Amino acid sequence: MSVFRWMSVILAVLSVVAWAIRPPADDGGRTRLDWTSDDNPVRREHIARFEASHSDLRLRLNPSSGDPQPVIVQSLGGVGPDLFECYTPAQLAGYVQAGVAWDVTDALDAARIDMIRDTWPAMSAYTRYAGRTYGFPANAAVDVMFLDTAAFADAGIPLPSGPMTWDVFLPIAQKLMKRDAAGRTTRFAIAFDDPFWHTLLMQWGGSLFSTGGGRCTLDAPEAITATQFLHDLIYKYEVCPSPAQIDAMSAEGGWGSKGMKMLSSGRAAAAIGGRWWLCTLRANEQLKLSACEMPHGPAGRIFLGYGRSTLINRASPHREQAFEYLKYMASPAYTNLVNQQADAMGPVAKYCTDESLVNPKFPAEAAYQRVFRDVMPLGRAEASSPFVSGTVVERVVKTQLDMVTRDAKTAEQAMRDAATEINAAIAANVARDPDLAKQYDSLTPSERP
Amino acid sequence: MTDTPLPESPAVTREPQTAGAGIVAKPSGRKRTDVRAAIMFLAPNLLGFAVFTLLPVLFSLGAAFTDWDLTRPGKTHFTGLSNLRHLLADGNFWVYFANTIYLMLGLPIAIACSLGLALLLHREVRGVVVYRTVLYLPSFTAGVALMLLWQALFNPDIGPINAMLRGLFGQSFPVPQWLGSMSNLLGLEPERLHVAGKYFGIGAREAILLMGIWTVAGGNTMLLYVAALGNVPAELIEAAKLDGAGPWQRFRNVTWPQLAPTTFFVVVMGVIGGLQGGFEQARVLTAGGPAGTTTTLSYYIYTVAFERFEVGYASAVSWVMFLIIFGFAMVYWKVGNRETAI
Repeated sequence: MSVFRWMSVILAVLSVVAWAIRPPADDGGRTRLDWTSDDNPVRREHIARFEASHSDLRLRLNPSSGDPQPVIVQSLGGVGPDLFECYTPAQLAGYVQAGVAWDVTDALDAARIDMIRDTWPAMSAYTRYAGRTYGFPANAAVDVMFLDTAAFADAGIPLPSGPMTWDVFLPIAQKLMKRDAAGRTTRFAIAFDDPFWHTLLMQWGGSLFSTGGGRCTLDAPEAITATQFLHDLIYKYEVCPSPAQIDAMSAEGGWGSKGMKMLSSGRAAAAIGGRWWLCTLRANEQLKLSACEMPHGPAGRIFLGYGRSTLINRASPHREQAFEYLKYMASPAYTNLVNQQADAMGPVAKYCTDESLVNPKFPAEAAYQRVFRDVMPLGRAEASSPFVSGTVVERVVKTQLDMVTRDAKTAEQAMRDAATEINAAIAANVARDPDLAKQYDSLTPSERP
Repeated sequence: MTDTPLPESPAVTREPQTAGAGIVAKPSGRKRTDVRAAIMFLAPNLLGFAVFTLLPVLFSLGAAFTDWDLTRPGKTHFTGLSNLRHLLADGNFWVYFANTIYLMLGLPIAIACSLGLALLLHREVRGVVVYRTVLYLPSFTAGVALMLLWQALFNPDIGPINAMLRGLFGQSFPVPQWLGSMSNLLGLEPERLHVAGKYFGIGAREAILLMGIWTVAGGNTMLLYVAALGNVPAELIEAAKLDGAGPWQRFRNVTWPQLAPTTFFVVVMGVIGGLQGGFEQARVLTAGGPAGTTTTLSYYIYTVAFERFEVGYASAVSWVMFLIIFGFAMVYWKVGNRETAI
């Protein structure tokens, strides 16, 4: 037998072996549902509980970084997951526009699940697009101010409680600052992460877009003043770290946001963050925590609401079975589990009772768990526009905020530049898409640039 | 110095191709079998190349002339050269192109370091294999792991680099903020191709540059130089010694000219790699920031295609990048070939 015939035989044998050992389409008669989500350890317990109550289904986690592109590309190629996560309203728009998300409005009605009534208000933006529903909230959060009780005791300041304005809190913050003999800051008053700017924008009455999303309104005085306040917290009042100081002080490694790491390591007396921080902070036994509502600006007690929702792939061969998971998410068992895990707040408001929020293993948290729940109705989702991709907006805003927080550009110039660039992107998108142009033309003149 | 004819490679045989003027010899039965066997052996590779490289490349060429957007399925149109026109007017493209070139400024230093290390390793010293292995370590260590290591080294507050600078120049020395800073040695502004004094300094670009020099210095370039140094005829060195040439003169007039083909190769590969580079660093360390200062063309293509989903435009940027690389390589090839032939 010649060499190439031997090669053909070997390749054929290998093909047969590969076919024989291919992964089974189902597991022991159970239908397998592929779920693309971040690899948070708490997901394992969700899977175990869901499978325990659905003996005909098997849920398999497909770990992902949370970026939407793999889901969209795989789904368009016909090999997408059955269930996947949505982390921002902009991602939801992308999934719906790409035809990847299944419209579950009718299925929810048939299952008598009133998603809008039962879940936290801010999460509508993560599940509803153009009047239709495409998923169910997996969790929800509104940031509060975490307090390191030892730092407050060290500064001789009683723990703040209840609603207060930034004007009231700033003198307290200045007393919380700690410096070494060389004048270098060893403890900042407040640490924060990127979403903080969105909250300030809302608290000063600003918005990313006009009603209808036809115009970016970051050049409005409210947005400029809010951004100026962020700058002032760093450079005028000197109570928050600059980006370089955050990088310097939060690089211990491990999972978690930079603000969380600063609080956890004693580099900040307080930090703006969500209930999901507790997943990590619980492990730090030295840290004695408390929490209070974040200070608010002139427009009142308005805070950024955010979270995660779970969507179903429109092209999934197991859509109905995948919908069972959404029904499970609407149950008291699911909300209770999320609350016990402290993976932010469970999605169904009425099940977030005191008993549900306090985990008996962490009794010290009982003193401040109610704060997380009380701020939830005050959360609002960030504004989005159907005329420009959220990722474009995010990148433009991030570039400009990088300049402001590094003291390289004035807040006014940065916000004007951001608005100009985003409005140019809107104009380009409208010019190239007739459907979008029709929608744009239906806006009132005040809603356009 | 006279040209020495290169020895003919034993692998190359010069069989007559034709039986007569203009008449191609008919392959014998044995030869036909050999050709079929060769095709069979090559087929898996060629098939893989065609399916996973050639077709996608041609597909992306077609996509470059469309407005293909993943979020608008079924609405893709042929748009001719509009992506190219958009690109020429796209300020971000030019800023990120400048970032890419800036990050390549470390290439000559990296090559010089590689040559220096190769010269050291070429000497007869005990444990030379251990030294070579240690210096080659970065090349077979996972890139992400190395970047996280460098991230810790660059920490402005507790990183060893700034600790060393403070130790050398005093605690009040204004240490660089490294990955968190928009400053750079040319004073380039982050958003446009413009120089401003307030941006002069050391920042994220220099941090990535340093990391790149360190990675390249002990990598494949060093190995290529070690191999090339082994091929420098000992009799030439001996002759130079007899003529009274010192170490520097021997290197300058004997070794360096003999290394010209290797230098030419590493420069071409370095330029090609540099123009394609910066993606991992941006993805892992900086997300392209601060304010886009570490966004290179390859990372820009990624963000356009997979964050903005504008696949058509991303394809156009990719092809323009290809043409730039191709142009660089061709010019260098022409110039380099001429110089190495002298």
